[in-house]
Amino acid sequence: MELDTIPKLLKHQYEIRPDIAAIRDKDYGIWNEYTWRDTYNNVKWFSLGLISLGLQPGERGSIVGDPDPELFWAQWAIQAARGIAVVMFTDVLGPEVQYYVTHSDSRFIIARDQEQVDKVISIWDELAGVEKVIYWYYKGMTKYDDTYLMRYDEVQRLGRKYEEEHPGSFEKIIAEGEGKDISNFFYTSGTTGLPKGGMLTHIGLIKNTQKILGVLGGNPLNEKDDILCYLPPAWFAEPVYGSIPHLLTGAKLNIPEEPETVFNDMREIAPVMILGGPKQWEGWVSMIEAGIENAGLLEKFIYKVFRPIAMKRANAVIEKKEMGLGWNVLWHIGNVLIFHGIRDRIGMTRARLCNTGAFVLAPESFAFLTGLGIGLRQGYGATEGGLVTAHTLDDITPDTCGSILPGVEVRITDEGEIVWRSDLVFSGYHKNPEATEKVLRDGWYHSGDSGYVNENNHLVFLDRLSEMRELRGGEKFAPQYIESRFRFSHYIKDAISIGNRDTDYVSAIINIDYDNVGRWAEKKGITYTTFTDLSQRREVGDLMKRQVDRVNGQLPHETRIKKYVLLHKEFDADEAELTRTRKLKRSIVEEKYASLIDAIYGEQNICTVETEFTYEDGRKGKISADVNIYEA
Amino acid sequence: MGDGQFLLRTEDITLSFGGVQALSDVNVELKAGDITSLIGPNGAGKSSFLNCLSGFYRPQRGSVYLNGEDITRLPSYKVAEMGIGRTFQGVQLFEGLTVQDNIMAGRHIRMKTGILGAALYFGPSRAEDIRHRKVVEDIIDFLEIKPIRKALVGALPFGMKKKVDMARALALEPKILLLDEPLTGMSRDDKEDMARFIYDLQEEWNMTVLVVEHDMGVVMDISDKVVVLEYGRKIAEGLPEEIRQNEHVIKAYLGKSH
Repeated sequence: MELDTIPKLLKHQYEIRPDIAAIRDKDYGIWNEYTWRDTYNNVKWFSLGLISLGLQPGERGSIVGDPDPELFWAQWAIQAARGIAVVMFTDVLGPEVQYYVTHSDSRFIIARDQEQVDKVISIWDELAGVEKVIYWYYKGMTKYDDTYLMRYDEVQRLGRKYEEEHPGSFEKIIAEGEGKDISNFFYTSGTTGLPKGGMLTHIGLIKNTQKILGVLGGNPLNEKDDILCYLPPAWFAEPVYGSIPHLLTGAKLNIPEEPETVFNDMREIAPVMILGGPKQWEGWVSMIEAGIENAGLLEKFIYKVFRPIAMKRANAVIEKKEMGLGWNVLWHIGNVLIFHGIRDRIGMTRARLCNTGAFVLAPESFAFLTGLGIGLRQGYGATEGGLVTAHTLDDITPDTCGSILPGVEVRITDEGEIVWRSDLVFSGYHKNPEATEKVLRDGWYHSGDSGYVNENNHLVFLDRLSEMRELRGGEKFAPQYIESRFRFSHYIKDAISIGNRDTDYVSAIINIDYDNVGRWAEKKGITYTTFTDLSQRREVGDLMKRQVDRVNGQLPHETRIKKYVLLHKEFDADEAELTRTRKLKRSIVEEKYASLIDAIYGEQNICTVETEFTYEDGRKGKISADVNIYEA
Repeated sequence: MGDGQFLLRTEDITLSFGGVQALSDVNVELKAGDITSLIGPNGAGKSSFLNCLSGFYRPQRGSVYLNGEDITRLPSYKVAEMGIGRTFQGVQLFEGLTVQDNIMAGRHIRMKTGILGAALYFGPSRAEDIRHRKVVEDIIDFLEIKPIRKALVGALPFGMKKKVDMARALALEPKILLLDEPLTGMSRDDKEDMARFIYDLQEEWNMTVLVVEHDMGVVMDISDKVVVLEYGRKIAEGLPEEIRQNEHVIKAYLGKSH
């Protein structure tokens, strides 16, 4: 039998290793084990229970709640009955539950606990066609007597009875399943409109997972490895990074106690695969830094000694050079003394596949983690389009999404949109052919993302297409991409890139980081008085030129920065130039500095800028300064 | 009415501190399995009454009966052993211990092994430890404080400490739980959680609960019976809706801002 569906994979694992631990769930403070036999039987009884309650092939079941073994069993049980699983995010509200359930026409709702059941009860009158609401965490549920509620074990009891009456029916229905059957709807919330239900097939999910595991090369997962389920199962990334690798390779699936205990549980498990967004990885970096800050003197000293060696290794990896035997030996000494200990702290002693999403991590963070021996790599993909790129271990460049995977064809359209074709692309949106038509044309998936393929055949992701700006000549550039690259320098606090249909090229207004540039100036013996003075020093202008060159090196020729200025004052949230969370308010800055921007695109190389500001007592004041305009 | 129906009953409790009359002739009956609320303005004697029940204060006159047995003169640890657990208005916990250890400490009166056995940690004492840990974990699960199991209590926010205090009281496996202002100082979300826990205590564990609380919304929602105190006297008693209508109560408490 070809293992082309999720239930077939489950049955296969059960047959080859029935008494080996499959799932470990932390509960009551200890890890409880379930063997493959436990899993298989739980899925079997629940699946047959649903069938006896009337679930037909192709019908949907919705699931909501924090991950527990029961959540996965319920999902696989629906799929085994040839149904389709719709997992919702745990924190959905009542009306959202209503939307997902009615839009997917779910026949059953499986809700973890009282909290989730209450949401369903609040909208029950709006739900047509739902047979039962099944719950598996019984606390607080004793007095609920609505007839549509049913306990999880009650469904399984029905399943056992069904098995007695129809022996062998479970095995039969699994065998009938086909790879091209839809296994899941993954709802994706666009920035506009209602969430759309992306339909994925069994074989699509399995192939995506195989692609990810393929990156591991000659070091595949096995039953001794541990996977930690910490991504929300409502998201396409969970199955391909968690439950399906578990079903494909027999690696144990570990379920954290609570979403809040993930960091602790991760340390205990030391999982082999970790997928995090840049925010999470940067969170880990600051966790490590805080840890070192609070460490004892000896630890601090050792760290200080070995840090340059870690950086050496990071550079070697990024520049794809050999580190040399001596350095290698030193790094391994450092590994024994301190790096391993740090990795242990964050549960990454056994991580073989550490991925980050499309948005790029600050190079310092990337280097920091790489130096400690965490093999961080980027990847790029989409729920609807599957996986597109990934770094292989010998080809890591922090600012790209990696090379295009075998079997995927990538094209950049004239508008600069990334489109691709592969057998991982989804089957369309449920009940929404217009939306499907928009993203899926002749087998090509239109991502709505903007990017390009560089000379090393690595994909570079710029931004969402809708965030792109256009120059007079029609060339597109990504303001946020440029600005985030500037912020990677610790000499730069903020930057805004200017350019539109009335300009021929891109320019930048840069805010220097007063502390760091000030320190640099002191070291160089450059005297200065105020922020304004420091920002307009020629030497500082030259220092920034190097930063502009660095950023330009990561941009296509036609959208490189031609001119830049160093603003004479800091962007300030009190003057509405930034939001309170330090995000640039583009339109306000552009309006406020209109005369400066005109000057940049004019002939001068100096411009007198007057800015008005309001004192706390309401009086208005003015500062004026001469701002130098530099050419890159 | 016989004591069969009432788990805890007080008869003419009278307590004074010097010239201050804290409680005068207070008669209250807690029915097994009920949530009873005790309300009243500040200084009405609510906490004093709780202290009389749990053996911290000795009333000058009157008696407290637990299942018909007079427990008025018993020391507080005896009262605890007999199944009355309580929490405190200001939290009383070991700040330097973890949450888990604090709850475990709440079980000490249920522990049987001696010092030697515990020190050697084998055979019966090991089995006992495991049994106690299980109860503690049940409580941790029930109050949803798993993420802070190993955290030091001193470092927790006040609302969390309140939960731990309740867990400590539950570790005693009491038949009756006395809660002194369990919702004070809590955020809206925490209050909702706590109200649900109190409700679940009754539903799932069939616990008899006496709550002293100022949050009228919650009191009226969860109580089977409400008792109102004013200047140490019981001025009303009844179902929540009756209390809401009672003019005396409205004048004394509900109508005024407090």
